[in-house]
Amino acid sequence: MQKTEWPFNLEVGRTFFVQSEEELRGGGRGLTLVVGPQHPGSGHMRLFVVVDGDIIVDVVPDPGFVHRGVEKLAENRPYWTLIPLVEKASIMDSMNITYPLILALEKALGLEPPPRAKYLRVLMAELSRVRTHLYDLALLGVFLGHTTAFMWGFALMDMYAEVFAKIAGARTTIAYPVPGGVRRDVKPDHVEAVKRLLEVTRRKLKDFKTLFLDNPVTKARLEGVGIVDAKKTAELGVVGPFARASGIDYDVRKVHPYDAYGDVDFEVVVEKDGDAWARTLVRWREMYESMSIVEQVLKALPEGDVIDQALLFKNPEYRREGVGGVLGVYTYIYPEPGEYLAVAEATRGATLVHLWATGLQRVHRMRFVTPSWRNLRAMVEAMKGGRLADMPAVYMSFGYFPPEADR
Amino acid sequence: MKTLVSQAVSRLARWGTKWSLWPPHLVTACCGVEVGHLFGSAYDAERFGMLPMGSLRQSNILIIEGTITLKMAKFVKYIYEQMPEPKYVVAMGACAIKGGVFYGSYHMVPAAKVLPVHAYVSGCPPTPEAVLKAVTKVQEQIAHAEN
Repeated sequence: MQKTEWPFNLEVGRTFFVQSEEELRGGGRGLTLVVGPQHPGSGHMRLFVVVDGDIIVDVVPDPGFVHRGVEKLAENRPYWTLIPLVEKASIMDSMNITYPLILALEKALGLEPPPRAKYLRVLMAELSRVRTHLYDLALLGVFLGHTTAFMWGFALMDMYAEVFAKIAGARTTIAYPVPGGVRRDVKPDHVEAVKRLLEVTRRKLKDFKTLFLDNPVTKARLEGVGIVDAKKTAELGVVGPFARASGIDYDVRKVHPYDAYGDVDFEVVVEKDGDAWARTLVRWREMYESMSIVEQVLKALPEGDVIDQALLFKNPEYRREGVGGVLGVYTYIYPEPGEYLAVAEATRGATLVHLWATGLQRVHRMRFVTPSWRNLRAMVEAMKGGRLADMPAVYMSFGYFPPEADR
Repeated sequence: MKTLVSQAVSRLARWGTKWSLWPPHLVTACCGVEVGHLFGSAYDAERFGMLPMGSLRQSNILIIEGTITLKMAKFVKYIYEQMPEPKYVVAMGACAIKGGVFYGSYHMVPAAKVLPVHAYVSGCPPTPEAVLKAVTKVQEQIAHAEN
């Protein structure tokens, strides 16, 4: 076995990631297998897996198949067009992934969303959290060869897509928040739809649990597989439910509550084992926590505008429920020069946006750190020492989503 | 007589191809989420004879799910070349058409520069219905093909 301490015992001059295929020289005891970018699971990344027998000795990831240059593109466009750009990183989780950008832009523009907008953001953020967890669980089913889980997960997700389409106007890329508020107000029938959605989800999750989590095969495939202990998790900088599965009690929503998270009551789900089963269970239990947050938000939803008054008064002919009337105002407000940092808890972990504003409408630089990228190293470490047959289970137990990691 | 037989065989082959369009499991970008919905229970693309296949050797339609980056383009081409004839390509999403929100990015290439595309689907991401519509267009192309 090779030493697997960070910063990984590679030869001098070799990077953690594979720069070219010529770097992979043979001659060792192990056999190098190339997994991906086309493989029966989901996700488009390549893993160079060195196996000895069927024990994985070393894994070298080769991400970047979906690197689209979000950070570079962000330098060339006005700040209000960054929202659709950033949300493409994780489209079913678009509310959560744009959250830090919106928080940073609000600091830069000096806007403060009204209470109703804060609650609506939390509502959509938690719905999209449930949805993304369902997506990851459904794909975990595919990776384990459990097609029923895929069908059930996507059937449940589809209801979320329909409700998103109702509230925000799009199934997946909702671009719901704008600096200073949200893009659309909810109507009473939307609230009813969300209530029905939660009721159906709770009912169906029981059956889903019987089919998927209570299945002895699923448990046998996941339990004791890909263990990352708490120390290693902290060292490798793992975030989100994958850190919480190793016993690290850290959630940005609790530590630095943003928007309405300070007003709602929820528990940070923590498991101790740090294996694939714990990572699955954390996400399962988080879905129930998110649903309880949505219920609290619906109960305490304040009345009023959904856009900051400062924005509304800039445009006397605004339409309160339209996009165009208010978004036009952004063309004549400018961010204050300075650096702005915001962190938010996306479904797969803490997301960070660092903006450098120079007083122009185009930001000088946007740094965008996504959770999947930070979990990649732990995923690779968790695979080492395990069996090749367990690799798919470990892969998807980290919910790795390449567009999110590669940006 | 010979022509009649060959015509009949060709028609049968085209009918068979039309209802067995199997895509390989190649996810190039985030439109894969909507493709997941497409094969989920709500939209059920298997009605149209679409069944996602693990192996590209047994597939004949390639769905380009959104962006093709320069790094991915090489592999998309490899995969396309390994697929048996006849093969069809559906380019999905604004990114595959011209770039979408990522227009002008240094690491992107439109699908048409990599592969011959039979049908485009617009949207960012396109809805599953739109993809199914494109698939029926491809089926029409197959049915009306010259032998």
